[in-house]
Amino acid sequence: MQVSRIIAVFALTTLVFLSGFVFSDWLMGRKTTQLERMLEETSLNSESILVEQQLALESPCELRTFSILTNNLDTLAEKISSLPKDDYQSNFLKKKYTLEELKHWQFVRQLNTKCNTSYQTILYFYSKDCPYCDAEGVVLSTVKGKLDKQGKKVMIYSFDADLDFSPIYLLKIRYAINTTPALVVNDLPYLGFVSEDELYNLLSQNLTNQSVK
Amino acid sequence: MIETITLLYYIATYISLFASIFFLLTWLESHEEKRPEPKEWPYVTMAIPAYNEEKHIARAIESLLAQDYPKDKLQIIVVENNHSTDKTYEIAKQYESKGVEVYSIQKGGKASALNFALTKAKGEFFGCLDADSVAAPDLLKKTIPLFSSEEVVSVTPALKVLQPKTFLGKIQEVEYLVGIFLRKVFDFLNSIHVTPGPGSIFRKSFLEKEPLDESNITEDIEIALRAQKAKLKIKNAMDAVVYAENPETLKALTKQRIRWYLGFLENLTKYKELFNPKKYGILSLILLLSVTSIAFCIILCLFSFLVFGKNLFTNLILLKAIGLQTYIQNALSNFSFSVNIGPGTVLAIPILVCSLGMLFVAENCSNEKNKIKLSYILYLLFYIFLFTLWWLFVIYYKLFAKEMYFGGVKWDNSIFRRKHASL
Repeated sequence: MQVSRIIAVFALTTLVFLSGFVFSDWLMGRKTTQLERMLEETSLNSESILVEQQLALESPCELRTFSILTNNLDTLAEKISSLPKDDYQSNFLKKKYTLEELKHWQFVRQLNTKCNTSYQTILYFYSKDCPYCDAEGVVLSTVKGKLDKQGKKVMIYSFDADLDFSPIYLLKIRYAINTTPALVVNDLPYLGFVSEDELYNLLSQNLTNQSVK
Repeated sequence: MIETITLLYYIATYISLFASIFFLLTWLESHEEKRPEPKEWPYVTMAIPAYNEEKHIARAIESLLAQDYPKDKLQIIVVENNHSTDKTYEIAKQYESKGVEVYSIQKGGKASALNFALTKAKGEFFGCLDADSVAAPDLLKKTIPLFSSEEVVSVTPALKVLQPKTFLGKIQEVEYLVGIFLRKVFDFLNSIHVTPGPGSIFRKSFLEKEPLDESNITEDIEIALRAQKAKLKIKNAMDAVVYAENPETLKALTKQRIRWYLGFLENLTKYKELFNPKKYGILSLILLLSVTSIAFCIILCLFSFLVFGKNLFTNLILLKAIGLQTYIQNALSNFSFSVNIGPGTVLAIPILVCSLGMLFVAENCSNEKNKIKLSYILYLLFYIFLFTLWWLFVIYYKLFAKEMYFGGVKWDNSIFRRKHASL
């Protein structure tokens, strides 16, 4: 009788235990499905920009989809950063996101050269177990928030420097990035932590230079 | 490293789930046997061993004098041992006029005092009441009927904390309630492995054959395990309440726990054959469960300190890098964000529900009037750390062969340490 009771308890415990895993999997699944859907939408938007660029030859600087895409990327950035670290699915999503960021970066550079816009771009390289990366992330969003209020446009693209992905690898070589945090502000690399004031000055200076030009 | 710890965490979760479900199912399945009052109440001897207890001794004696039990069937003995340096003996002497017998013995600890009282005992049953505890008036009426057969050699009461006031007292209040539930479940499973000093009653014939071990620092664990080894029965009366004085400072509490846990460890090694499941069934499973959960507790607690330390470090760097104002703004805006609900978080819910169920049962069956609210949260937040702290001390004592004083006796055995001397 005691043996059968213990077997019953084992069965019940295993059932509760496994359903805990299934439930949390379902919760995570919902989160990633949402992300996947957003990523698909983003890539749809960037493809649409490509086509729009080809079609709208007379007014290449008035791309309607561009602001939608920018908003898309901003929302995605938050969601991506809340993904669990180091699992296959989130690495896959991160790679797709990286591609979308790079496409957007290209659009912005094109806009700046062809259309006389003054978007400033920051590539931000982070890694996990990097104590100053969290701080840099906060600095970036604070400074962007300040400049946004002044109506100055800053685009931030963040990359997981540890991600095994060739575009990231290429960028790291191009800007000689060997440490985190690292910033590439308007094509110039800055290695190590950049404080709020430094970054703010860097971006406002650049703006004045540009307006002088 | 992280993977190993995650795995350990899942194993620990599984074990605690298993234990919780097992205990609650046992509770639901088992029925308290009816306790018909005996036609004639048997003669009972209650002994109070006391060493430097001038503050509490009168209260303990009075709680026995106030027992709702035939006066001619109750013998009360106070044994003051080892020449207390305070007025314990004088205070106890004042109660001689009320029929309390008071003795003073030269040396020995708590077990010696009890064994001495045994030689003076006239009762069929022999109970012990620690001098710093208080018995509810119905202690004997609730416990004695449980000696239903000859093989029941001891009946243990439900222990509660006497007027918990401090933070530590509140935590112990919940801990004791969990204990009330567990002791009854262990009774159903025939696996009680401690007969606590405050208020446990024994069949005198058993103690005469098997006197308390005077060389053991927790004689109440030793005698219980000895009875279990002989396949005798220990029962529990969940509604017979004894209130124990709780140590109110961390130092005093830690000293008490070090003694308990050292004793637990020592007696498990002394009776290691009890771990044989073929011979001892559920008891061996329960002992195994307690030993594994202690080990898991220590490992996971130390690990969580490591994680906490790391987070603290990162946050300090963050604070230094971005300044207080931005730090607070950022913390507020990120508060509910980036939380991942993993299996660990999800599985904590059934475990919490089970533990609430246990507390609910314990509160109701021991007629607790003050329902526990705040205390439970304190217990959840801090108990595991205290528990780990105490066990780390035990490991330290063992490793460095420390001495300890208890009940006026120096417990060396190259295990206990002098720093906590109560002399």
